[in-house]
Formats: sequence, C-alpha cells, structure tokens
Amino acid sequence: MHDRVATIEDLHRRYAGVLFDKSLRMLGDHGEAENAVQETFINAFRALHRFHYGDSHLPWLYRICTNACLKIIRTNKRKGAIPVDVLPERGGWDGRGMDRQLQLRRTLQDLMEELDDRTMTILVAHHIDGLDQGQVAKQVGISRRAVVKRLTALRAKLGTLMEDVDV
Amino acid sequence: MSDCPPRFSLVQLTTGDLSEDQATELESHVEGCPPCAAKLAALQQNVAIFEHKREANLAQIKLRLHDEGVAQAPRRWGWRWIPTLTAPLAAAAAILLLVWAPTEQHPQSGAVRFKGALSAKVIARRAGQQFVVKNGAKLTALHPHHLIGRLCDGVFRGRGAPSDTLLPRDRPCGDASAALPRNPRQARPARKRRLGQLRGHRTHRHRLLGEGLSTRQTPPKDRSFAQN
Repeated sequence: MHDRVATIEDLHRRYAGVLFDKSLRMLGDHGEAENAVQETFINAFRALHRFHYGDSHLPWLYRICTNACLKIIRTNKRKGAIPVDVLPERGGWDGRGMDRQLQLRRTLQDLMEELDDRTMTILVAHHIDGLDQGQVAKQVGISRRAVVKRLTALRAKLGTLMEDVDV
Repeated sequence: MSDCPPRFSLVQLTTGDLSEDQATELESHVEGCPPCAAKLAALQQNVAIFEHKREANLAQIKLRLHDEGVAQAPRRWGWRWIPTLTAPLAAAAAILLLVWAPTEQHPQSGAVRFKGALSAKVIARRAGQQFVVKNGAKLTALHPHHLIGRLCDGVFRGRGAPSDTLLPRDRPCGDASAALPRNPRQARPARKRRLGQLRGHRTHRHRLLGEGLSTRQTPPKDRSFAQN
C-alpha cells in the first residue's frame, strides 16, 4: 500500500502540473480542473496494477484525466452548471480568452451527445491534447489505421465543429 | 506551422519525458517558432499556477484515498477465492456432518439401519492388480478373498430395498475385513449411498450375500428391527 501511495506521490509531483493544464483547457475552470486532477490520481491509484503503457506514465495519466474531464462535463451539463472561473488573467491557454474556452466546452458537450466514449477519447487526445496518431493508437489500444479512419470520419461528419476543438 | 511537433511533445518536454536528443531538437525548434513558443509559455504558466496548489491537492488526494478506504492493502488474486469458496465449503461440511451423523442402531444385533437405495463400488484384485467390478458382472467368477471392500455378512440392497434392511456391525468379515472400517458409521457404502441420494445418482446394485457372493439370492428380510 505504501509503495502505491509513494508511486502516486511521485507521479503527482511530476505530472500534476501538465494534467492541470490539460484539464483547464478542456474545462475552462480552475476549480474543476483541480478536481479533475484529483480524480485522475485517485483513479490512477486504483488502476496502478493495470498500468501497461511502457516506460512513461504520462499517456496513461492523460487518458485517465480525459475520462475525468468528460465525466465532469457530462455531470455539469446534467446539472445545467456553467463554468465561471475562466478569467484570462488567471492563466489562460494560448493567449485566448474566456469566449474561446466556453466555446470549446460547449462544443465538447454537444459532441458527447453524438459520439461514443472511445471516439471522444480519440478526439480529445488528438485535437486537444495534441497527441499524434501513433500516440493516440497506443493510448486507446487500437491500431493506428483505425485511429486515422475514425479521425477522417469525424472530420467529414463534424466539419467546422472540428475547428472549434483544434488547438 | 505544419512542421511543428504535436502539442503533446511540448508537454513531454516540460515533464522531462523526452530523450536528450529529442529535447535538444525540440528546444531549437521552439526558439525559432513563435506559435510553439506561445504554446509552451502558456503550458508553463499553467504549470506554475498549479505549483502553488500542489501540496493542498496532494493532501486532498491522500485524504480521499484514506476516507474511501482505497488505500487499504490491495486484494491479491490468490486470496480472492476464499469468500467465494466459503459457501461451497460450508455446504460440503454440512454434507459431511450428515453422512457421519449417528444412525439408528439395532438394540440386539448391533446392526445399523439404513433407508433407501444403496450404492457400492466393489473392488477386486487379480494378478496383483486392482480393478472395479462393473455393474452386472458375475461375482461368482471371482474368488471371495479377491474381493476388497465388500461387506461379507451384510446385504447391499439396490433401489427399492425395504427400509429395515440391516447391515452388520462389528462382525468378522473374512479376508476383506481389514479393508473395511469396524465402525459401520464410517462404512464407505453408507456414505456413498447418502451422497448418491443427494446427487440423484442411480445406484449400483451389487448384492453380496454371505460368502456365496451370489448376485441372485435375496437375503431374508429381518423385520424385527422395524417392529422394535
């Protein structure tokens, strides 16, 4: 048990910052991003014995974090909550402002109604987290060709919506 | 812009997950690419923001792990089957108790009364090798002392045997007596009969009568036990 807690502490020390950045870009809210980081490491603790992504824990944690963020978006949509803590001066993303973050979040909410979880994971991994197709394939556990096919189908289906997602 | 590395590479550069060569190459690219430099700056800004909240965040994670009981010792696969097998083991113990429970004993002869069908396995030895006598085989073809495990003075009754059929208790049993437990409560045929009943098996109708080993003869019914 102590070994697992120590592992989580090490992972938190090393990766929590970038996971916060990722969560903030998906959620647009500092408090929710912190909650997403918490959820990520708690879920990572539970699944630590299943870790099999090779040397680096980062892609694995990214995927867990994606699921945590999507869950928060889904829950908040059900509750009708709107993030308010997206002021640009508190640290934004790529210099873009609140409108951009809210727009991305709304786009993700809309997409979640149409897409299955795996496709959402691929979309987030490629268009928001910036993983290349090979990294996405490894993260999701399908072939690179399947990832390319899904992304192509997504572009054809969603059209301009994808531009809102791309960072 | 199209030659820019994926954003995830900037993350890996920040966390130190790139090799030295990859990191050097990426850093040289970022120096000459304003969009990538802006992305990296925004990333590092968010990481710096979280740096102030890191300890509080980690403390909350530990607290939640403790509260939820997740931080308990992990259950290993080797021990997971114990609760699963608890019920079958309890059932097996109950069956064992049922089989070994005292049966009703005849006051004069000391015989024990069994009800219902019997199931017995007759084992014979020939030329130094043991084998099971199949159902319906002619037992008269075997010499008596070749048989192991038979009840020489007893009567194995098949399906439909009267409820007062008696099995002897503590009586000499010839060559095969050593193979049988002296206490008829421990007699294997009785246990097999009861287990057979529970499982609904068909009984083997090996009938042994005295030393004659005839499968045809039917022993005289002793009704005295029923009358008692």
